[in-house]
Amino acid sequence: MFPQILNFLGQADYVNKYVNQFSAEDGFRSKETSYWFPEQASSMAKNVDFLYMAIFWVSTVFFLVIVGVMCYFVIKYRRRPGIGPQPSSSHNTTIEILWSVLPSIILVWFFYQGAWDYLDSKFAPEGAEEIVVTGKKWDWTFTYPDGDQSSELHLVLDRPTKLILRSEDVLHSFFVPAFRQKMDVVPGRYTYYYVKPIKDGIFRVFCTEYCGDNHSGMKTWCHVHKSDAVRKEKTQWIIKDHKAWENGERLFKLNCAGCHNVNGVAATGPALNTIWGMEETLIDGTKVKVDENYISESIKYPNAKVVSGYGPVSKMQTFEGKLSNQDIDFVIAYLKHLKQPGSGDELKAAAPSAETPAAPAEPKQEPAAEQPAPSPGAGG
Amino acid sequence: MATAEVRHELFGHAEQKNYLTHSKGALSWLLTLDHKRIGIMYLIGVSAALIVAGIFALMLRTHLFYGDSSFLALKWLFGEASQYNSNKVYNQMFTLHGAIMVFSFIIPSVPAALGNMVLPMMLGAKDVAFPRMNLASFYLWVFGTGFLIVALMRGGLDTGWTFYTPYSIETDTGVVYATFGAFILGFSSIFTGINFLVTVNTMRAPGMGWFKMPLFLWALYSTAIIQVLATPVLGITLLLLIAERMLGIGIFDPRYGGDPVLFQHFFWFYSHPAVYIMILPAMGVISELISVHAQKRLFGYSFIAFSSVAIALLGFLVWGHHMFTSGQSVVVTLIFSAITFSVAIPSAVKVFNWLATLYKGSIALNTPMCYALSFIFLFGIGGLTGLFLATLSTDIHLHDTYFVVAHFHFVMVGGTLTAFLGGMFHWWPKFFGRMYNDFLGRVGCFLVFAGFNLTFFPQFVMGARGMPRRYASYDPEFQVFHQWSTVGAFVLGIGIVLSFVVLLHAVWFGRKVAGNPWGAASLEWQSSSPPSFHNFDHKPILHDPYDFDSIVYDKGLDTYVLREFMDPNQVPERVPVTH
Amino acid sequence: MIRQSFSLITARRDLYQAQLLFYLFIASLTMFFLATLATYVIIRTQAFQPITRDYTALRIPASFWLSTGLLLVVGYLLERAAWHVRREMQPGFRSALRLAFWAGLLFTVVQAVGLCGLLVQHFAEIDGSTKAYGMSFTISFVHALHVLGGVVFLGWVWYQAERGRYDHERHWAVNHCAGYWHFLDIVWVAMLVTFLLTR
Ligand code: HEA
Ligand code: HEA
Ligand code: HEC
Ligand code: CUA
Ligand SMILES: [Cu+2]
Repeated sequence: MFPQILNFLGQADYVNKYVNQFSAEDGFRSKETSYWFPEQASSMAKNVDFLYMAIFWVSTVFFLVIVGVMCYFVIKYRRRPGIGPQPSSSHNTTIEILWSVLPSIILVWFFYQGAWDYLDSKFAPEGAEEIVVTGKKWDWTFTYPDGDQSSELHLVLDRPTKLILRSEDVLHSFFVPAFRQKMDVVPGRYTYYYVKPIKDGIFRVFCTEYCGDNHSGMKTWCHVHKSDAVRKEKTQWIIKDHKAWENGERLFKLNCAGCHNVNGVAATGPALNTIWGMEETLIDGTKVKVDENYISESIKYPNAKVVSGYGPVSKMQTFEGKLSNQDIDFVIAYLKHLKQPGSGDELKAAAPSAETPAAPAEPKQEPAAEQPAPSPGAGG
Repeated sequence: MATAEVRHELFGHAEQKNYLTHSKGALSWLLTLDHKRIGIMYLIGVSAALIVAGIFALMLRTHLFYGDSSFLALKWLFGEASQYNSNKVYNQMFTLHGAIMVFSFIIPSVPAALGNMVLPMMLGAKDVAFPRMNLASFYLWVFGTGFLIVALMRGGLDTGWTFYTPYSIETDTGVVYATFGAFILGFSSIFTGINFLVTVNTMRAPGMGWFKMPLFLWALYSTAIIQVLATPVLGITLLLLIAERMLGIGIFDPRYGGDPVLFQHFFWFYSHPAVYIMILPAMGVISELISVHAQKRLFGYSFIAFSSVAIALLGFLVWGHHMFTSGQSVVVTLIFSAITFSVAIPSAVKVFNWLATLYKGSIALNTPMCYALSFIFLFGIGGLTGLFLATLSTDIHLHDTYFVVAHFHFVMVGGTLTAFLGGMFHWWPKFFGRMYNDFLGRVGCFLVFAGFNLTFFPQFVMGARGMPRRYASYDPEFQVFHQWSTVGAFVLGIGIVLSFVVLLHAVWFGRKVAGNPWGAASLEWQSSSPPSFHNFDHKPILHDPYDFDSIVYDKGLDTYVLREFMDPNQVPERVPVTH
Repeated sequence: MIRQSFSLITARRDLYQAQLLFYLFIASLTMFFLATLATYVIIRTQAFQPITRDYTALRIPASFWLSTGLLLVVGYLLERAAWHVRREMQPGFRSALRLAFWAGLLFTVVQAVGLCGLLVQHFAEIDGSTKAYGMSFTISFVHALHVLGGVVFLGWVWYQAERGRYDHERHWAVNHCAGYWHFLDIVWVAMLVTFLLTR
């Protein structure tokens, strides 16, 4: 029924395009959703759904009885000429107690069952894998025990996992509907929850605590892989095995995608898929050509040249100290690649420090020492 | 006993000599100390707030018709430049919608508007205890709402109505204006609360014991307790937020050692009891509507009365259920969940007692009764879905999704707004001496009911499927639900507008009615319609507010009067005519 | 016509209403200050904070001791005033009020000095990551605002007293004024004790 309605509303194309984008990826997108819920991908999901349906049916029965009785009375005792209200008693303590106590018993069970299922997600078993989830405006970074990082979450099937949540700025909330779990990400403290994925596939991740302008854009995917090896391949950070632009893409997703789209739609910052080689107008009206120097400067000193329409102060914070010069090269390669596919290929594993796995969000000194950083104003 | 003329003077339609015509000119309204006029000014004010915030709701719903902000339905408003801009506008829309609805509309709606008009009359009193304070309360409302509007113009407000830190400290929008506005509105609410408490305590007509009060008064009394004791906590919370923003004192801002979760505790310490400020008076209205329009003594009077007090007191202990995922400790979470359930029982007691009241009644399906039945239906759903949220494991999934949005609209719109409209239709003939077009009134009620369900029922489904709230754009699988919801919102809007039109039309063109068109037994109906400036021209005769046997139909006046005042030449007729 | 029957509004009920108003007002304010103190205690003891932080110690400005004394004196003087008016000793009553008013005003001045001190300290430590002075400044400031309200109230009562509006029967405003200042005393002492205990 839904596709027809969508078609009718002229949205079907959009939906198909959107969904296909993901079925093309490695996993698959499970369609096993029930009427009320997305698929059950964690060990707790079943219990949650069961309790939900239990409350649902209890409520439905109460509701139907109430509305049924109401309608019956309204029809039976509706006002008719010549007939007044009939005398009937106006209190009855027994019945009052009855209809207070009976629902209470059901409520106690709701509480008990709900608390029990809730505690499941609060206590991780010994030896659970710990993954650090960092929320910042407006993207997620996942750090695995071996130091790898990714912008989409990769889990291993049936492996008990403890997600440790921390925030770099404001409140966020880490919500995976298919797991039926969410937890706020609170600046100034760590929060966590435990989850055991029981189904492989790709699942939606949302930020569900309002965190400002692009709150609704702060979503990503959770991949559950059958084996550790696949997971490793997906998260591993081996520069030399990848083309420069691929490394750049990865860095971009981790650091920049929260604010910059690559689909032409401006977000917090301008879209970056076509900027390479373009003339850009700054807030003071001057024009600059987008080249290596300009991009490198934009990353290190965002406020040196602010694009018109985004001033007076850039919302972008500096990545000086977070991204090495080599990282920046990779990002530049990626931006070039976006404009002219094929152009970022040759740079494959060029830099001398290629062997050391880089943790992108961490300061790295060695490569930075080799090239003197352009001073603000010197480039472009 | 009394002659026909006197009877007409006391209970008839008072064309000339009433509080509306008592004095003329704008100042006689703006500086009035008459509770009825203050009530009407409040009524105008809160209705304006409802319409403004309702228009915001329609705009945000229109925006949500398409899931991707690039399909902007309101390009002229949300701006074409970038998705970023449209997000920004959207965030301001729902924030101002929520903040104005909660602080300026729903909290003063039933107590300050309807309550002001009705409460003193129900007590058989001339006015509230402190008429000046009453007027001050209204002007505080005006100032507070004014500040919210100033915030709108000074960069808007994009924090959500909850003002959660640290975002509310960082954002460069008008948070200080808005929080200051909410702070002042809090004062307004406290003034009304204190006034009502003192009035009910000291100004009941001689002989009116606590258990001879109409249940609306019990509801207002319980509400006033919450207003007086909970609102100051919101006050200090907002002041500290302002201080944090201006000085950086390190209480809510983690950068300086503050704690964002602390803010949530203090915010909800007020804002949960506040939801009972919203619903208790509405429940009181429903008690009146059901008993009067079914001509039946309320079943279980004392249980309904005490359940109001119980809800008010228990309501203070459950605030943490808004914070199950916030990182508060596990033990605290369990306790809050347990206590939350306890509030459901007194609510259930009320619903069951209303039903029992209908039994063997003489149920007139007029507009107020339609709203009352609609209330039972919608509040039933809203309250029962509260149970899904009170249950820990399910709330973890449902928190901050559209399920919550649907829950609170069912209780606030399906509950309070419905009762507010129902109450207006019930007391309108009293305060304006005119009857509205009942057929169109019922059509309006039906549109509100149908449009409401169409708007918010789909939100339960998409919420359970994982659609987060406060999202300017969303995944395509949720689109159908959003589109139904948007269509529903417009139907609902038409219903509300129609209801207002019906009421306003009646003020000038409605059929004239005399003192007691419904055959109600509480004291406010023992006066002419509209009431005179002093409320009662004779000392109201005290009897049970639900003793419908003491009321008889008077053919000469075409209204109901007390048996004592009946035309001795007529046969007492208990049977009400159909409307 | 039968309007006379409304003459029930007696002076007695007025009194009762005023009393109720006063108690409800104090109840509301009690919630306000309880919440204020609670925020302070929680944040200073990190009751909800899993991550421990070292707070810098709070040095209480010396002028606070003086102001505390003044505040207590006002409370005492108002008690004296009420005592005098009950016995219809008008001169003693008025002079107690006069003294109380000036003491109250002096309190606000002395307190302002202390508050400025706290504020200066607060800005001095702004780049440190933990805060001691901002919070204590804010809550003392909130209290001081209420004292300011109390001074206005007291001034008004004094003015009415000079006009001879109170006698041994009708002086509830005096009692409420005294009650309000006692309330301010208690709140301030509670704040000071809290400052000391969570230093
Ligand atoms: C008028 C306002 C109002 C009312 C009356 C209620 C009533 C209730 N609310 Fe609701 N609530 C809100 C307004 C209201 N709420 C708002 C505004 C929010 C969200 C704020 C935000 O985040 O922005 C919210 C959010 C909210 C949450 C947090 C959800 C979350 O964010 O994760 C919870 C969780 O426990 C909850 C529970 C309840 C419960 C148990 C009741 C109970 O009082 C309901 C009791 C009623 C019934 C139970 C129905 C009547 C009885 C029967 C039909 C008989 C059968 C009964 C039984 C079987 C028991 N509410
Ligand atoms: C009393 C409280 C109240 C009321 C009555 C309403 C009424 C409505 N609300 Fe509201 N809502 C809230 C309180 C309320 N809401 C709160 C607290 C939030 C949370 C905010 C937050 O997250 O911070 C919220 C959030 C909220 C959202 C979620 C936004 C999000 O999370 O992204 C949605 C979405 O559908 C919504 C829709 C509606 C609709 C369609 C109505 C309809 O019922 C509105 C009906 C009224 C009208 C349509 C007005 C009628 C008048 C006209 C049409 C005038 C026409 C005349 C002229 C132009 C002269 N509301
Ligand atoms: C907090 C949001 C944010 C993040 C994260 C961010 N940017 Fe930006 N970026 C902006 C904004 C806003 C602008 C426009 C203002 C300006 O020119 O500084 C911008 C501008 C730019 C420009 C100039 C664009 C043009 O059209 O000329 C480039 C290049 C750029 N960013 C690259 C990056 C890269 C590479 C990263 C990641 C390493 C990144 N940004 C991360 C917000 C961000
Ligand atoms: Cu991050 Cu919402
Ligand atoms: Cu609540």
